Amino acid sequence: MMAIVIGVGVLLLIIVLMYNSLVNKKNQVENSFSTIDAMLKKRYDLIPNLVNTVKAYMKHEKDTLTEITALRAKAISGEVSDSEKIELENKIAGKVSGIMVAVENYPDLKANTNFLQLQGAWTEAEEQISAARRAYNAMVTDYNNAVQMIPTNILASMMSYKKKDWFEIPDMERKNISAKDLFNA
Amino acid sequence: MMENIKSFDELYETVLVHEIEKQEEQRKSFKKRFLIILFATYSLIILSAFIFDPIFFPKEDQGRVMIYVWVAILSILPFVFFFRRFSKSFTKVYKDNVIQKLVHFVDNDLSYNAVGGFPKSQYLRSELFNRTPDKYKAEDLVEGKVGQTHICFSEVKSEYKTKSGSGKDRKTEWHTIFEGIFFEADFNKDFSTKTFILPDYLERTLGFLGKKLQSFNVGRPPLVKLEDPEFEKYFVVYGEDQVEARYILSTSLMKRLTDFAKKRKLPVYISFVGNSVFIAIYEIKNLFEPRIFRTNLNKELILEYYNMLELVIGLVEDLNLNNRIWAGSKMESGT
Repeated sequence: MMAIVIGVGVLLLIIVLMYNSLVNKKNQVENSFSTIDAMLKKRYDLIPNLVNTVKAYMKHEKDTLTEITALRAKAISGEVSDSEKIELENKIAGKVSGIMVAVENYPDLKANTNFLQLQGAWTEAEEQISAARRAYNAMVTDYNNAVQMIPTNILASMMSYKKKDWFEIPDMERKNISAKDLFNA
Repeated sequence: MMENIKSFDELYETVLVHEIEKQEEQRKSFKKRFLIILFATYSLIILSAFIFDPIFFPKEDQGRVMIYVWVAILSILPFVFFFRRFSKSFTKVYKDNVIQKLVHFVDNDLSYNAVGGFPKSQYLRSELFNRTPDKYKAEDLVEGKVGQTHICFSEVKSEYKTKSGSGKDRKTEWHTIFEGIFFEADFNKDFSTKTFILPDYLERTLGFLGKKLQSFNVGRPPLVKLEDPEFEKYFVVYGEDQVEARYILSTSLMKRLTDFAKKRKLPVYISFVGNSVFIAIYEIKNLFEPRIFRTNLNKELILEYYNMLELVIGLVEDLNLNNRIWAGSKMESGT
């Protein structure tokens, strides 16, 4: 009799621990997604300044600049879903990196201290976003492992926890990296 | 004349050999005198033992063995004293000439101080080793700027003691915490939390189970799991902030650190604290020292010192620390 009571007690304890670890992992995923969000906001804050500084010099990129401003306005409006947000984000990143490349054609702008500062801040924000994205992916991997592996998968399916997707690095950014490598080679 | 020298071989042949030769004469004559006097003293002791033994100890006496032991021990002391005195002045001249030139050859902007050492306060600030040292020794300080990056490193040996037993059996034992080169550089990114990168023994030996055990660490912030499998084979990372740890450890830096760890057989410890990167490189040999009883005209020996200097100073290049678009140099004012 005693053995059964102890057995049930231990089993219950294990279930509670498994449950808590699953909830913990899910919260970590959500938490790290909000970190990405915060980092993105930080970068959005740079855009108006960047556009204003660049506008005075750049003659051929007017359309791109207007587009960037519009995309930013949409992104911070708060009416977009998470997946739309990622899509907008990728578009903005692509357009701005285009601007950063185009700067090469404007020597005056390249020498502007204000612009250099903004460029530095932009690079830093990029690195932070990439760090946040990697942190998010690590949390998702952790969570997915728990959801798919025995024995936590049994509990996870009862709690209807599902496998989550990684924050993919957009193709465009990958291309940028490879283009750079090509020039260096 | 240093400017025109291209390679280590050239430096050794044209500059260092002459510097060492200047001291060789002195070293040889000391060695000769030292060994002659040592030999003479002990011959005298042994001889007088044979002559005076029957006079002082006419009877069989156990006590006299002790007396001989004491005489032998006490007569060593003046030799230790003379050796130390010579070694100290000899080492100073050697370091000021040979090691100094070696450092300047690797980087002319760096300063070398033979008696200076890596500050204990910074050693403690790095938090690389949890145990507070009872003894801290540091020498051969190199400091200065490599490009835009301020660096500082020296040989460090830190130890702690344990006491066991009580009364007459009371024993104090010294244990090494760290010995090798301790390095600090200002890092090219701003950060406010602490990140520790320690050599990974568990995961290499125990695999998945080791990883599980790592998360139950004591005295370290939470485990940071990184996505580079090769890096994870060599290191385990603990960080106060998951995102900032990854901000510091960009994919390229992970690759660079892995490459660095591969160059070394002994473990490497790294921490990021207060905008500085601290790197502790284990090394058992006492580097940058001259030899007294053997010739210093040994290219291999100097090459070993040179290689270590280049390895450590090369960290700035290896870790791409000069690539700073945003962060300035912080060590100048603070430390």
